[in-house]
Amino acid sequence: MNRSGARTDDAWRKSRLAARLLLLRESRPLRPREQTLARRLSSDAEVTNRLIQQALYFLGIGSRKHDFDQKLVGRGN
Amino acid sequence: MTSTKNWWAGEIDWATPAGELLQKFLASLPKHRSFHLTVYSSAPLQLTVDRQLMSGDVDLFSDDDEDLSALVAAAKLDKLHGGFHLEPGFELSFRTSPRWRQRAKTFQLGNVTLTLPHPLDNLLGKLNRLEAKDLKAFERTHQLTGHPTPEELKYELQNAVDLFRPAFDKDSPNRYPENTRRLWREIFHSEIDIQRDIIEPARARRNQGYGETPPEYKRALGE
Repeated sequence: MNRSGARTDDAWRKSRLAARLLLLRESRPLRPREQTLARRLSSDAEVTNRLIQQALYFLGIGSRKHDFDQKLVGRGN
Repeated sequence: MTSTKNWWAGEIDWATPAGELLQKFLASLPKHRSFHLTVYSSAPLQLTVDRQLMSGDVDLFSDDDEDLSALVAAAKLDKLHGGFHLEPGFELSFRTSPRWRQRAKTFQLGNVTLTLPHPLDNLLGKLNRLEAKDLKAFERTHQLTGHPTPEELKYELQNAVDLFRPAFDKDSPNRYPENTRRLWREIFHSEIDIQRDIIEPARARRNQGYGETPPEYKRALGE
């Protein structure tokens, strides 16, 4: 077990946090501390769109994903 | 979809020139250790499909990336000794489908494990050159087995799509696209569109494995 240095799953943990914030923002405006965290994650190189997408599925977005994407980023993905 | 099952028994005809030459080589190998050899290109076609398919040499390599030159020379079966000879190389020279190992036949002959790739994979390897004798190999295999059909070959070329990537240097351009078009005209008497029939379906299957392209979540997060 690796007990030294950075956690090897940091990228995934941070991307999952980013996904949670995006889901939260769907239901209510983010609070100042959450906004700060969101901005920090959005400029974190370890956080990627692909990992956030995986996290959204992991968190159970399921068939709502298309509508979520449309509302959030206004894209026809 | 499978395009190689049930049309190749893979039984070796040892009474062919390639069979006799291989037997000589195998008998000359040291007995105190094991060898893992693959014979590719024309020889497996002569050994298992059509004994009339002649070639000037037998191409082979060691699965362990061992240089076989010294062993071939010691057996006096290299090209310097003239006549029908062995041409030792490395696996990198066998440019074919990435699936070749899973449909090859393997034979245990004493301390030697001998692998013969499926005819389809030997034929795919010939597309790089496609000289008259290579075209003949396609033609004879097709005549004798009814395979590969145009659809089978198209599917297998999709699975081997990286063969169609541009060459590393201009001095030796990639001839797969041009030769595939020529093969279609000569053997199947029809035209093939490499981009539409091979590259695009292959890319679609490959991209499916990569998952959908995600939206700009990070940008949305920072807004």
